[in-house]
Amino acid sequence: MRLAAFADELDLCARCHEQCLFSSTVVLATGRHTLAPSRKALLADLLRRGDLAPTGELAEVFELGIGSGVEHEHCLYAGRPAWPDETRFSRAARADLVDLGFPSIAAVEAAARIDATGDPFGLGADPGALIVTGTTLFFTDAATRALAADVGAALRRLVLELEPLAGPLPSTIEPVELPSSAGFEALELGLEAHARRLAGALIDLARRLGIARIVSESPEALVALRELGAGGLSLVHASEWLAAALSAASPAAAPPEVARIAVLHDSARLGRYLGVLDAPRQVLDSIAGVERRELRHSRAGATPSGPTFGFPDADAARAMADRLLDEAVAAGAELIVTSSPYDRRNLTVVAGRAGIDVRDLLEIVAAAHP
Amino acid sequence: MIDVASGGLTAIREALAGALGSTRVSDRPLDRLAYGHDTWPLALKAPGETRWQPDLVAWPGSVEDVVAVVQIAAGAGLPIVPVGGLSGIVGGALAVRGGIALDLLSMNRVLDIDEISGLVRVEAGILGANLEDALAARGLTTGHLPQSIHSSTVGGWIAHRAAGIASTKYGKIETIVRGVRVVLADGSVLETSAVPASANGPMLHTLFFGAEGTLGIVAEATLAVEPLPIERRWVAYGFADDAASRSAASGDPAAAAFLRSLEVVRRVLRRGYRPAIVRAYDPAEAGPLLARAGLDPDATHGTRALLIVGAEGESPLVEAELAAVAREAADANGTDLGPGPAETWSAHRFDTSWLLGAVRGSGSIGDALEVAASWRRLPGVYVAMRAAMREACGPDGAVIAHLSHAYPDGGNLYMIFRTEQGSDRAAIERYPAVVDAALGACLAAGGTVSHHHGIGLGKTRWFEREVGPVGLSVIRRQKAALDPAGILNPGKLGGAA
Repeated sequence: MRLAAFADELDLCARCHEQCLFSSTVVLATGRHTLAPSRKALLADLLRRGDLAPTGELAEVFELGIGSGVEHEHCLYAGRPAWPDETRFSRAARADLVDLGFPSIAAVEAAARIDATGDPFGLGADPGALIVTGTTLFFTDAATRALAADVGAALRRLVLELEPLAGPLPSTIEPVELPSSAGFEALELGLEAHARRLAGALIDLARRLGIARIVSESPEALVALRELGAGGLSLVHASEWLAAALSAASPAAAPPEVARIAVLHDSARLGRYLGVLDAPRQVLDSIAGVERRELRHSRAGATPSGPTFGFPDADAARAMADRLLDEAVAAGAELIVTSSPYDRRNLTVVAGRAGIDVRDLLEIVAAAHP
Repeated sequence: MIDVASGGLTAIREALAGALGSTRVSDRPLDRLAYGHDTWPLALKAPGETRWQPDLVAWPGSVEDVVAVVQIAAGAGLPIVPVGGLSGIVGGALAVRGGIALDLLSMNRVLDIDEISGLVRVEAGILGANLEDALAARGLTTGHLPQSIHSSTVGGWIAHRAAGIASTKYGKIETIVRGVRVVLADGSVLETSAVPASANGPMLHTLFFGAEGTLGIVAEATLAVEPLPIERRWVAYGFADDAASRSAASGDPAAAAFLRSLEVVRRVLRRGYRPAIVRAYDPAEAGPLLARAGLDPDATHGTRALLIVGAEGESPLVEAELAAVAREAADANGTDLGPGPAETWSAHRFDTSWLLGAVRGSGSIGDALEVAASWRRLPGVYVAMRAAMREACGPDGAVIAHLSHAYPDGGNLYMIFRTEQGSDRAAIERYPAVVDAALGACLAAGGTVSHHHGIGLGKTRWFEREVGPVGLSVIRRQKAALDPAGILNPGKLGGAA
């Protein structure tokens, strides 16, 4: 079992004073202590030891997680050996439950779509989602195309504008070889074989093209590639690429729709798991007319916006986004700037009630560089 | 009464689902398992233990939901155990007769902040850290900052009469709470006036302080708030052994320096000063803390006991309080250690890994017993408890102690033990023996068996001994009047299980 590798973490977490509870977004949204890291650790540990039978109910508990890492950030054992991370042990539990014959409903559906189209959204590959510039491959993940198509379009436009060598994929690449998803959703759902296949296809393509680094607008795609093995390739978020690319460019002026009071929401995957905290700020600060303010909880301690893929409780998801929206309102924001397609989706669902606009960083930059 | 064997629980679940919504009630095994343990050492020692599981879990979202649950439970004679963050360490939220675990975590809103009066009204399920975060955004604080603040709720604080680290300035929770809204066992709702003072008969809201949910379910509370302190400064003093203090400590050299540090605290408090944070450590606990701060006894004039003081508020107040501490510490031959040890403590103040390690370790167990006594009796309580606990723990045990809450007329003691017994079974069997020895010594020396953790399952026997037969009779008559069917948290505070 994959959970065997987490034995020490699970023991620490299952018998703890739960000093992460106040930050547990799912618990705050649902009120269910069953969904707290300590209780999930207990269930995972019992499953690992064979003291708890795998069931559909157990799969449902692990399905109700958002993998934000915020509890990990506030863990009593932060920085010590066996520092528990609910995101990782829940991912392992879901994978073990899939192997034991108890996939979640979302996993079953996603597996079928991946098998049919190459991604969990059923989109299929898009040649326009891949741009080569010398030894760099720009990759727009299926999640972005499905949830925030404008972000993918913005990235494409910016790459073509800022990278002189940008060009399409060589014609020798067959359409069937094109990757659509980096495998994050499959990884999270416990579909490890699917995840490895998807990430592997992207890495293999990059190797064939002599690529040294992959740039993506999706922090989730980059996390998946890192977790599944990037084969020595450098993994770069679009905000990092932009920060470097814009450093020599003339300052851009914000058009009226983005020349507003803005708060930057730190994506869980980008901030906590990839450690990219400054680049998005640097990029946003390079646009004259945007007044950037910090949310009350930002950087590594940022409040999550909600779930990623396959979370079954829409009311809880809305409650999570509402909590973050309240922070934005308190900061006086007119605009929330995101850097993950999932954050953009989560916040867009609720932002209307506060009259706040939600845009991805790439959309802001593209608007400022017409 | 319901007939569980004939499927009565199914009818209860359906009735609750009808009132709260189907996703707000569960009889599923994993939910029951999750609510079957809190952070009582005996519960932590046995993860997956099933004997404290509720039959059902309900998640009310409003006072009206709580009323509905109580009415349904009352109609069926089914117990209700109010649950907050499950951070209690005496088993107060464990179900001893099944029933409904009523989890209030969904009731976590700040309802009103009255900045003019300095009051905040909240739902009882709000976690302390979330409340303080909301208040800090407005430049306010309750001043109630327990070590469990990240996992304990306002309702839980009231249920067991909690204390925060700054209690010397702000008081325990019973001095911070101004009013409550409580759902009684018959479904009626009592709302008390949130006023600064009143002589309108008995203080009704205080009836529910420390009642552990046995008399009613606290659903909302109004708390006093203060401005966030403008300034906080730390000082620390070390105390070496000397002949005079050894005599006062009945010849116990380990106790001598500690008792001198307690005397410094007493003198400061008796003179009318109220520094927010006052902590005095005995040699066994001071040693690791000093080491963590990079100090050793040789570099600190033989420091064995340690006093930490944090003063906060307006600068003149801070100055005056720290000056008073400095004078008294100098009179007691204390060594000024600078702010380092205090800052180290502050940086690590949520680190409970030592105690958790004692509980998790194979063959080991431990606990933090918090007692209190008047200044005259406190030294005797310390000496007696320490001796009794060391003997009960055996040769592979450790007992450390500190004072962390001080009042003009006395203070508390945290008596913390860890014992190694070779097997988990032996450790679990040894645990009550150590607790009995400790609390027996405490009572005999004139202390109270709980300063702020409450009674729960862990201290029931000693609670009954301390309040005595007349006190117990009063408590039971209160219970009989307010909850005649005994459905509210049965088995706690001397109630029938």
